[in-house]
Amino acid sequence: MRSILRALFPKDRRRTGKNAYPTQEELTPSPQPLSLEGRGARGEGRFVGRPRNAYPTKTEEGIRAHSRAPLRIIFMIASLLCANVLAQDFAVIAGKITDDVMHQVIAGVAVTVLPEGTTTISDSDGRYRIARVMPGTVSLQFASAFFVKTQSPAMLVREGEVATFDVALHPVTVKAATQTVSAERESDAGVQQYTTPQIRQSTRSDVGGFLNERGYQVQSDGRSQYLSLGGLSPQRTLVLLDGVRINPDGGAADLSTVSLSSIERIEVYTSGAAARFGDGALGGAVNIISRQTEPERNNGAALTSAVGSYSLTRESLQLTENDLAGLQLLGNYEYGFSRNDYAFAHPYLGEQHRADNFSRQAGYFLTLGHERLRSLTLSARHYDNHHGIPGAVLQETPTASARHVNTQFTANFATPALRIAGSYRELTQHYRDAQSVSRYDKHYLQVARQLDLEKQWSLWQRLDVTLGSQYLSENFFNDDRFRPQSSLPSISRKTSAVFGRGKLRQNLWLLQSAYSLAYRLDHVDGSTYGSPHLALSFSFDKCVDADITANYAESFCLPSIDALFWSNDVFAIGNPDLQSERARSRDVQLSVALRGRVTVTVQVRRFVNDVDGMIFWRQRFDGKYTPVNLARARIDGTETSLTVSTSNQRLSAQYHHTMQKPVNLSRAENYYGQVIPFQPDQSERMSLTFRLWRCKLEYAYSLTGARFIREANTKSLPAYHLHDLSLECQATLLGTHEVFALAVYNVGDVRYEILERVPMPGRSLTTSLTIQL
Amino acid sequence: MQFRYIMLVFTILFAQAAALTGDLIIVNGLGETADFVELTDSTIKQNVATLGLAPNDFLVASNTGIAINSISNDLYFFALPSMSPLGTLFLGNSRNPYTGTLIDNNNALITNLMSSTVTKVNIATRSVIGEYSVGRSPEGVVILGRNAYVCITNFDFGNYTYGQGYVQSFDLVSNVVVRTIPVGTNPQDIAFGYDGYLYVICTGNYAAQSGILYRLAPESGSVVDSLRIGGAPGSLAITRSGIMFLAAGGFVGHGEVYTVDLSAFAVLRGAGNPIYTGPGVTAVIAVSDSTVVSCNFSDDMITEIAPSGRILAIFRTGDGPVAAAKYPACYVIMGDADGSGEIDISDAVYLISYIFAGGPASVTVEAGNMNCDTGVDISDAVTIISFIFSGGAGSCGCAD
Repeated sequence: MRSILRALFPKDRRRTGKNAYPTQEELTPSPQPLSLEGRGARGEGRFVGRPRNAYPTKTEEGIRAHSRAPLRIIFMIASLLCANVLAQDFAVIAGKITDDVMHQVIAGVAVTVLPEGTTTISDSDGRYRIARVMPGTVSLQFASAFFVKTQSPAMLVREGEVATFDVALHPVTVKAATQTVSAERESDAGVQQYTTPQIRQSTRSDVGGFLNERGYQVQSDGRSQYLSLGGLSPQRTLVLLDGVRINPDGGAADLSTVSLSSIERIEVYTSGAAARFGDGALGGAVNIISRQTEPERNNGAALTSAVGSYSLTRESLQLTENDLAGLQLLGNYEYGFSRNDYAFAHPYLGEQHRADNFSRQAGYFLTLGHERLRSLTLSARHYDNHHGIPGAVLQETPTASARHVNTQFTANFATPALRIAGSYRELTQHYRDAQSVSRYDKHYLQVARQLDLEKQWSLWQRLDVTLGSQYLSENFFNDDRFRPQSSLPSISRKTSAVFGRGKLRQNLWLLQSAYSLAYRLDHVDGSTYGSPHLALSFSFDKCVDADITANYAESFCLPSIDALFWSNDVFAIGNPDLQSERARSRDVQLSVALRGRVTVTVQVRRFVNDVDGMIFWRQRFDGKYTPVNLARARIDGTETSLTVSTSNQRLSAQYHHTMQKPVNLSRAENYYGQVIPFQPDQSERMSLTFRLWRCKLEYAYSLTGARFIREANTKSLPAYHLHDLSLECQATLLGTHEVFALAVYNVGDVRYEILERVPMPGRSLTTSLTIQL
Repeated sequence: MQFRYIMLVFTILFAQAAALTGDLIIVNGLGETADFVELTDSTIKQNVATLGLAPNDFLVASNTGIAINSISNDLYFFALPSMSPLGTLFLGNSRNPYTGTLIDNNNALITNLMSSTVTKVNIATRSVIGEYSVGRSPEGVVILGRNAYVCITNFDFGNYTYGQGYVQSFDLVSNVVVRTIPVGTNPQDIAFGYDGYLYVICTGNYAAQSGILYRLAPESGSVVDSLRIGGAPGSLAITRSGIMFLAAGGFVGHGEVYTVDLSAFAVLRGAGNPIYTGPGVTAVIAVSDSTVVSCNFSDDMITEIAPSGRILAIFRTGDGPVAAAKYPACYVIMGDADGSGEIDISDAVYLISYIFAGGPASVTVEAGNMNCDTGVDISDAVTIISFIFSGGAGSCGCAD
């Protein structure tokens, strides 16, 4: 604004004080006659000659000034009307972050401006800077995994002002259930961590949607979300909630059932997951850490309501209450319903409607802590997921439904060097179709009890050693209500495990190096499995940030109870002679980041997984499916990602590409060299995000490559491309914080199949409103 | 008249019979493709056509092939021998078409396992003529005259049990079931023997009840005899030589084929001493008057087998062969003495040469038996001539 005024009204012409124009006395008399260059008409060319005549007389000036004034005013008004927000002046907030014990700078702290949500990360000098802060009353939130989350007092920032706020953070003493103080850092080889600020910025409501945004391969049937790591199927990705596995027996974990609002941190393990978690992590693992109570957290509530296509409705309520007679409480309730009926193109009957595809989800989450027992946290989770499963297009079973009910209790006692956790989990799965020709009514119940013990030492400020043990007792019940003779008696499985991890950090001139060795020994029902993990990483952070990491790991996956003991029926028969799957994986990753006004990060990861005994359900000559062990399979792949973002977070772009080829190398079989079906040959995701004032606009593109659907590679499903758009805006009204979101998924209304003859819904629209008190 | 024909004999006395030709179309159930096998050249072309979901069977109607796809509930039509697609026909949701047979060269009858119906299909127009109810869970079917004989397995998908098995006689004119004949458990396949009887193989329930072969008299609709086979045979093929071959599965180590001497109605090779071949034998089909080809699902092979059990030929197929069909539908027609592929005057000359002048015998023993009586004699030559010049009765059937 000031610059516009200066341009319109130069100093010698602007109105200052009383005299708008120079007085007669101020004018310098000139004895020389006026002479002009050029055409010389007054007001054109240049005036030279006597200064007196260089300036118009007062009267003339007054006339000319007055005659120009309306134009200037009009121009000013027009400029104001046409000016976009970017032309406005904002405030800047900067500062330095240190700890209050050693007074050393802290890098990697997420600094968030509240309520607008702009976030930045402190650099290696502990400094942060947030440009383009909306003038007004704001506060700053400082979040780091290793320091107590802190919020500054409210401060008033004016436009054009550069406010400074230095802060000293206190090291954390009690944190999340499965974290040990120094072992889990973002730079750990084979692990990628996503913290609260990143999670809160997501426009998705569940963990599956969040990981999809980050470029991971998430397979969806339009309702459930399954993560695929390492080129392997989602059944071989282990998902844990606070250290407790939530995969159904032999199945993939549905990440759509875990609400993002109840999550504090997500750890994605692309290597070495078995050395940490044991069975089932052939492709990798995801450990989801629930939100914990914190005395520093303000009391509050947040209500979200969403509606969308296919009769979608979703409600969630989040409550935070501190100091209920010393108790801290954090609770979350979510309910979602979608009728999910949609049109699809039947191969013979033309446009049809896919009905009875309803989905109903209800979830509860509760965490309790006490200010006097800050090392102890109790948490409980429950979700109930009931949905219709009309089946493939040409085999309609309109009355079929499935219901999954999961309940989990966890008690966690954690100090900086010791963690003891106990948990109880109960998963019920109910599959039913009482009216079709092939009726079924099957109930599955899994009960798991787990006890974890972990002790950590930090030696010489360079070496972290962790030793621990785990005991897991599982019971499986399988009840066939229509055919009781097919029910299984209770089957139990007990796992005892010990593990050790060591990490040595060392500076080699300009390089920071880290050497990790981990080993876990599992004893399960009389068999013993060892899972080693070796990792080397070298980092360089002078002119550019560069990391190179190499991993080698071994893992195992036990056969599921269904695969072993499925009762002989017309569709399938189990195989009690199945062997466990074993994998050897190795990968090399290079990442380079250039940081400045624009930060560019490039990451390339090359991985190879050799899997022995991969379990595959194959059809027999009598039409029954039975699981068999493939002697050898190899999954070869490359993951590439590129992220570009401006320092003020106004613009960011991400690109992720995965190319993989899983090949059957079983020489004794008829499929040697064939691609193992159902995994796409490539996947790609690109997103562009614009932040403007208090709004965020995002465009996302995704590609899922072609998939073979027969072991002989005689048939495949084609690739499909999807485009999504989302808009999110924030506002503050009457002391509450509102977030409005509008999303259009599959803008192009692409009709695709994720499985043969299972069509997905087309374009969908979702709107949501969140009110935070 | 006969003199003229004898003269014709001398003019073409040294005429050589055409070489025997025959192709097989193999249905690969796992790969969902079809292979084309040329038996005379011993060559196979794998995956020459893509089929629907879970193909079960293949029919040949003159120069049109029909693939029966159970999960996709449709039929795929192909031009033969090129296997170029002609079109598809959707039978309706949740039908699960199992197998079929030709009513004539223009019409086919398909059994629908899940809907417990049979569907009449017009081949030329690729359209459904009508769908009619039969007993629960029908499978094999064969046609004689105006009657279709349908195997009713009575399988209950709700509790996975087999009820009483039947053979139902379905009138193709009135489109209703006219007779129900009780047989054993799980009758899966049915065929007419060259002895005029109807043979049904009841597989059993894969547990306590094992395979039993039933012999029926179609006119009276009664069970004439039964023979305990053992094991779980599910498919049958009858050769002109009077030997029945049964596909009996076997998926651990080796596949099993049983044989039965129909004239003696006795088991030659049974569950105790089966013919061993590739594992997972799902189907057998007669390819000559004495040999069959078995489809070995588990090792992706088909094998030609002699009654002695000797393996005569092996072909590697696509993924999971489950069924086979002959192209042409008859390799040798009764009366096609020289194996030329059609009945013409050269067949008459061929027979006369054989009968009177010591010429070569017909390409197969039964190929010269135009009138399907007790053997090859001058009456067959007369019948051929009558067929050609006076519009008399044509061939009485296949010679293979």
